[in-house]
Amino acid sequence: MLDFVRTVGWRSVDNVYGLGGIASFGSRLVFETLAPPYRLRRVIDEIYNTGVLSLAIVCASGTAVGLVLGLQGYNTLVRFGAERSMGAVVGLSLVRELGPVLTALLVTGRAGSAVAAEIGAMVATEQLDGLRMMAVDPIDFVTQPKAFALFASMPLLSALFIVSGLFGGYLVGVGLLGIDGGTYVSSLENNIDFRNDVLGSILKSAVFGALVGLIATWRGYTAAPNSAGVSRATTGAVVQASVATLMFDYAITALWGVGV
Amino acid sequence: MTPAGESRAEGPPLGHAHVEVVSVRLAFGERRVFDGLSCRFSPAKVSVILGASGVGKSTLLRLIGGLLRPDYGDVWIGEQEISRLPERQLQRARRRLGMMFQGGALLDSMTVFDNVALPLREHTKLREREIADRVHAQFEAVGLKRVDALLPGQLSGGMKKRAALARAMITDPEILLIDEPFSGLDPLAVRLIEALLVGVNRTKGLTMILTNHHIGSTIRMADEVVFLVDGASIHGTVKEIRESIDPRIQRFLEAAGTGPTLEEAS
Repeated sequence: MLDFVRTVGWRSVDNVYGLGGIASFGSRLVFETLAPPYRLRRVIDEIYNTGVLSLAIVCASGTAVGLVLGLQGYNTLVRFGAERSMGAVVGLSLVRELGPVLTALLVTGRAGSAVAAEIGAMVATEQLDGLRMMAVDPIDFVTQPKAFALFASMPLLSALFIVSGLFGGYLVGVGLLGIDGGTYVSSLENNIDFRNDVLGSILKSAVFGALVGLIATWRGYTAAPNSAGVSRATTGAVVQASVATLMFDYAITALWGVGV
Repeated sequence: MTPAGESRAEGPPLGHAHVEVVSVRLAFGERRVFDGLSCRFSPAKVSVILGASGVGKSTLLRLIGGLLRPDYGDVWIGEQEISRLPERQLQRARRRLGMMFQGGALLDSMTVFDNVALPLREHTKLREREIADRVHAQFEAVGLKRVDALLPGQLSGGMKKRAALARAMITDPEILLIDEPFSGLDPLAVRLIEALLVGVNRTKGLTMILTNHHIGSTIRMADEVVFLVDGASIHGTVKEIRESIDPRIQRFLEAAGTGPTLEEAS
């Protein structure tokens, strides 16, 4: 019994210590983002790596999700004779929920894992220590541009996912199932509210971007300096960022009400 | 030859030591690496940290560089105690140091030129033209040619070490820390790097502290030797260490004499 209590106690201490570590690391990232020097060139490079190189997967996935939403939405709506609302169903699902969440999960898998692995490998090969010995802060030089790039590109990728999804829904609804194109677009236009739906969507994807950036860079930065450590950091980054995305999705939706 | 120095927890270093480690204790979990280690390194000399694998040679170098903090004890760089400095101040203190890592620690996403130019771009207001001139002068000093656009992964082991040395020296540090400069090199490359390091020490007069388990190169290069054993240090000149009657040193030298380094040593 005493052993059990001791184990629980130590694990709790470890968890609190870990949370303190990530909070302190996050505040350093914010500070380095706001304070000079501004590493614009490195940020642009990282936005290319995390954002531009994720375009294909985001567009393809968005279109596929839109195609499925179109089919499923039509099959449900037609039972109630409401197939003219298909644009609204596809649009609201994508804008409010699927766009930000699925984009975050996709970017976590593609770019978040790569960021954690790259920083972890730099730890294992003493590159971060090399920077420290040159009196260059690795949080400022390496992790901040990567975290900021994930934060900045997530809303844009999410918007692209949504547009691709709407296009996929249009292809199925108008091209395959014979719904009028004008009806699809006007249903979309009439039912999506900019303040509640679009701004809420942007807010969600910005929060998810910050989470993925923070967790991926933190896991890489604290990786054990060996190949197993890099592997654990990469897996941990994907799992933790994905779970955090889903939990924060619920929290934001609940806090902002059904409008978001 | 002197055994591990006495504890001196407070006050600046005495005498002419450029770097001094005082009563340092360090443990990784249950494993105690140093238990009251004290040693000192003279200015403008080549000091070699010698000892068996796993005795803490690289750890000592990382303590001096401030990459590790001791559980107890002091690390002095000149008049400054660095082991308890906040990270920002430590960063400033590190500008006096250069470090060449065993694997080079070059940033593998940047070209060799950008790697060597990085400290100048970060800490000076030099124009790109001046930076290029200084980097190329440094390349020439370490015997590297036509490597500007290459990535570290495209260099051989010896070239990587030279590039790492060029980067460590580009800001003209007072103290150069070098971790296992000869590991993984063929005998000819060992001689080349050795000559390069001695040349740098003689021409620039910087304090050079290197870890090594290569007896031959230690005998040829070292002005003084810090022999690590059982978490403590024994300090002396090469002659003193070779003539030591301490059984631990004798055992190490005998083992080295029967190993592949014998040819180099003789």
